[in-house]
Amino acid sequence: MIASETQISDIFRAEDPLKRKCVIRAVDVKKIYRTGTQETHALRGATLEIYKGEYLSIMGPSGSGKSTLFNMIGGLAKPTSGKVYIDQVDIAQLDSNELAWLRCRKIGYIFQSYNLIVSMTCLENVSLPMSFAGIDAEAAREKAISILELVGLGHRVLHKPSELSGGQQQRVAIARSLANSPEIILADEPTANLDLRTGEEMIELLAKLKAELNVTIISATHDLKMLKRSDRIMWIKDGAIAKVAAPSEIDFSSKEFH
Amino acid sequence: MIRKQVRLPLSVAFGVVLQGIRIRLGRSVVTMLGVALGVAFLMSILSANMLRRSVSGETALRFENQRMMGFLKVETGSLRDKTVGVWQTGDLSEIEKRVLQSALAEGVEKFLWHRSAGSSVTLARTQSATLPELIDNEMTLIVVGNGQKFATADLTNLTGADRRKLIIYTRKALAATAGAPEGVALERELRPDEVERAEREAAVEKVRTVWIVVISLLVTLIGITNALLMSVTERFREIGTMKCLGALSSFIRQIFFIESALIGLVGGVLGALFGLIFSTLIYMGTYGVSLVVGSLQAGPLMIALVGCIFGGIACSILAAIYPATFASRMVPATALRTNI
Repeated sequence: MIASETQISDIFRAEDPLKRKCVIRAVDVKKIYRTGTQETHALRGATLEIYKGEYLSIMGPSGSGKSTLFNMIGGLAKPTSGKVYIDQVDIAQLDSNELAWLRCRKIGYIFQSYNLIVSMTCLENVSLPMSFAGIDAEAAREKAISILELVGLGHRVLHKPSELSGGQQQRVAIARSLANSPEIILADEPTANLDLRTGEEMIELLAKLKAELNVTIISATHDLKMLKRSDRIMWIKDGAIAKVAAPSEIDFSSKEFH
Repeated sequence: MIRKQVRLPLSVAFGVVLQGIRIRLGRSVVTMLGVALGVAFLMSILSANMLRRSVSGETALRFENQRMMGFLKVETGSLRDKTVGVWQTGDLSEIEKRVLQSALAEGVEKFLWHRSAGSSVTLARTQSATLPELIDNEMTLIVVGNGQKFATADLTNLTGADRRKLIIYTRKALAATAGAPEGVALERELRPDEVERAEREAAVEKVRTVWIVVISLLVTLIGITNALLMSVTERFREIGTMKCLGALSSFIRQIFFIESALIGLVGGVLGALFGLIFSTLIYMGTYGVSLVVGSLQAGPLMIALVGCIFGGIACSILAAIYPATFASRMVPATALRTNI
């Protein structure tokens, strides 16, 4: 007997959690900062897997090793020991040229302090990653304008970051992270400086990217609305992963969140 | 799956640099002034050195000219409206040209000029003549030049000259040539102790010049390095950001090298001109305008000027090598964390 079309597509769509594609895998990652004779253990062995199309929120007080973990899984720093795999590739094996390609094409970064290039306009900031990727100037310009319109800054493309409010700068930073259509977006407190409404818009935008383009989103946040939208929430404490849970398992009214 | 990042053309880096300079104009100008100051220091030392040497040379020349003219006039009396013969036996020295010019200024009607050797000299009121024309009369004859062809048959012509003829040699060596007719030599022979003193002074002068140039080069290099080091260090965050966005290390290096070369060029030109003008004005104030203008030698000054400009550019690029290489090799996370 031949199965009907719906049955076949159901079988293919059924997701086996064990077979989900893993985009980032960290194995026993440790990071020690040395200043003189003093050693600071920022990460004491973190092992985690992040799946494709997942929305992962990372929580943790400042100094917990959250940023360090971020840098490790984003390929911005190399661990003291342990391995980080991005798309099954051990990033320790990549040369600087391949790392640059990875940062340019695969990952979009959103920083808490925006890190926009002050000497460039919004348009140039957003098209910079595209010119690094070798896209020609005219195409990059058009795409940059459409992304800036997407984040609601279509009327500010030729402004310098210093002429914009904090929230607007953060939106430029978000637009820039999307420039090369990355598979992974690493966001450090993306809504911290946005007003309520814009914050919600950005959350919607990220959720849409995840749903429509299967973009993996990893964000450090304490924003309840973001936490509720995420697939998993990870707690970092003293350089180690303390807890991982789905939002449905968590009581958001507890003291921890207020 | 993971590929190599493309290399961007130099024009992209150039555009980024120009934009950066335009936006950080104040900061770039300060850095540029640091370079300009270093180059101006070097240039003013070099040009002051040159000026001092040529001013003292010019002073000596003027003094010697005056002395020789005095001797000449003792022999000839007033030169006004007289026709004087000149026999050029070779290339003229600076002092010989000066003496002839001074004679013209004293009112000599014209020079009857015979050139048997040496390159020609352009002087006013000069008429070329043959040797017999110069010899067979009572006219004063000035023998000038280094006399390469002096001791030849020409000499015999001269010995047969009129007894009342006054022969002036500008150089002692010519007057002392065997068979040369009796005449007056204007050149003064230095006493052995004078020669020794002059040599000693020249040696001391040389050491002092080298010392001062080396010191000023060091000061310039350190000043420029400091200015550029600061300008690169304060942009570590920007470098980190660019690396996060996929910039290659070579792109970061390019940016800083282009920027420092541009700053070096502008700072070098401004500094060199300022240094030259400054030291010239100082010397004009000290020694008088005419003496300094008279002793300015365009050739060596141009060489020093161009040398200083290129020195400024080279220093700037050299100074950028360390910070730019350091910055381009930085781990992005470290670069982003830096706060200055």
